[in-house]
Amino acid sequence: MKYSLEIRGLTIKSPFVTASGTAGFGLDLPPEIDLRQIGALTTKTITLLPREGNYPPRVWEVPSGILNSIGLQNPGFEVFASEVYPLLRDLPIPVIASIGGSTFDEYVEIAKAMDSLKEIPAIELNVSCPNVKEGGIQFGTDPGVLGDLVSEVRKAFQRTLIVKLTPNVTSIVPPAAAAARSGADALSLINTVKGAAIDPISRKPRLNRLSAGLSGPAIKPIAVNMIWEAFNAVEIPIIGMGGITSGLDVAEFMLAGASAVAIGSSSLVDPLSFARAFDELEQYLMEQQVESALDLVGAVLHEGEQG
Amino acid sequence: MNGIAFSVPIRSSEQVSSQTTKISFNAEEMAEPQPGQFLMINCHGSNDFHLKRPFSISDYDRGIATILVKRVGEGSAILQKRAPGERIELLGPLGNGFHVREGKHVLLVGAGIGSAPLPLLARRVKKAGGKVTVLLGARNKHEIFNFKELQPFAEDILLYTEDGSLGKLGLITEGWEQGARNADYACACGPNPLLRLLHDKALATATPLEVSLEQRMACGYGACFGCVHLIERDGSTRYERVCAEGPVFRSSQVCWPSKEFAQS
Repeated sequence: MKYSLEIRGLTIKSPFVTASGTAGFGLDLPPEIDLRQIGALTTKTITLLPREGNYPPRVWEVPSGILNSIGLQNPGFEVFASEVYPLLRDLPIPVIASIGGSTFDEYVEIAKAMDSLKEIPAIELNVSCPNVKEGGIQFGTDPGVLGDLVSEVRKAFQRTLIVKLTPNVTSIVPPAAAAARSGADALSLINTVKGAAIDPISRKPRLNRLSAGLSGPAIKPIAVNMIWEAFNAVEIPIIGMGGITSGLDVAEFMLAGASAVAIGSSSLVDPLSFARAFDELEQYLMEQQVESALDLVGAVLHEGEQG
Repeated sequence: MNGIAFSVPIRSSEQVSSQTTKISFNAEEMAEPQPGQFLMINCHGSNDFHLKRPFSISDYDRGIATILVKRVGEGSAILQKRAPGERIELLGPLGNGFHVREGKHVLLVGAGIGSAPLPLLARRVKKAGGKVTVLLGARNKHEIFNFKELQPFAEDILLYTEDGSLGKLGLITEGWEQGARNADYACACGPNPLLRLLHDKALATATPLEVSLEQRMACGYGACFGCVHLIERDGSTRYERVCAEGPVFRSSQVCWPSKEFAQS
């Protein structure tokens, strides 16, 4: 497939990247997930200190989606740097390290630490983490806070900075604009949508926690709309995700404004999702006589609101 | 690394009790499974978005794999109705299974549908020159499975039902002392709370015990960390994946639930 996207020195050669949290660190994936068809591997979110994650149950299927409350289980930066990072060099594709924190300082410290791992070309800032100093509201929901956070991380990490936006906002435009203004090289959206499920017989939540994150086809229309809105608000490239299962979905997201896409939930259901969507996208491009997938970016035929 | 995704036709689908169906399919393409490994199966047989469901590999002989499907929800109900010839999509074999050591006498314990992985385990223990004692238990005779399938491999099958409709009247745990008497080690499968009780029994008789844990899964192949259980290993306690580090663990490694490590 003819495709190449450059984001400040990070070059990806396929429109597909992995969604953070759905492909670990890329080291023990089944062969059905062929990394040579994938542009970059976005890792599981890494925090400064190890996190155990949430008490199970952590997953529950809902119509057309998955509710998850994994809780950012990860071994922490030190273990990542000493045990995982040396192995990442053997991956055939660039690695985007997702980072998270519960305070400004934690984000900045881990961004600095990632800056010293020279083989990591990019970080993805996971701002869906609860801000413990502000009662647990996600960092990404306040454009002012988000802008400050991105500015500080920008100073700490010299290479490609991608900001992953949370959809749990009234409008994606202010956070998108704030992140771009503060130095983000690209945006990725959307993260999971807040959701919950309760068992009416036991009267308990289906997960150990009541509030969880919804992903999968159920959130696709939310993603498509937000990508369109963000696309019109910023000049930097957008990596779009949220319920993509097919090559046609990829085309849809690109028409809305995504220059690249990620697949997460669909891959959990079927590790052949990437391969299938890749082939379907190629088929679509051929049938539509589109020379390069990037020609689709933002090309939805839309003449503005009528009436 | 071997591929794990396969699409194979159903060979047979036989109702073995009011709620439970035995399904077999040709699994030659798949890597030969270890006892205690499982499959993630697309129950709906469509491209609609549904998580696959985990099923223990009940038996595997000459390339034919068998699973037991108990009706617990929509997915299992649909799978039970699918006919021979229809293709099922699955991932497998997955997880770490039971250990089979040469020439050992093993006690196999299965509670209700928990007896699902035991036929393959019994087959392999015998192949390794060992001996098998089986302890099966359930609420009633309709929930006892694999008695016939285990007979060719077992020295002795102890049977307990809570209503006395088959075998001895009583809980499966009451059969432990007799079952464990000559056993070098034990392997158990059933609901997690029962496995905890068996762990206590095993401590009392100093019988090493491996248990196959149950946990709700999303991907089933180790990518999402949805299916964890708290495990103590090498002096540290952490959440391990039932689909990848498990489903089989030594019962002494399992941190049986008390809400100590629950986070708010």
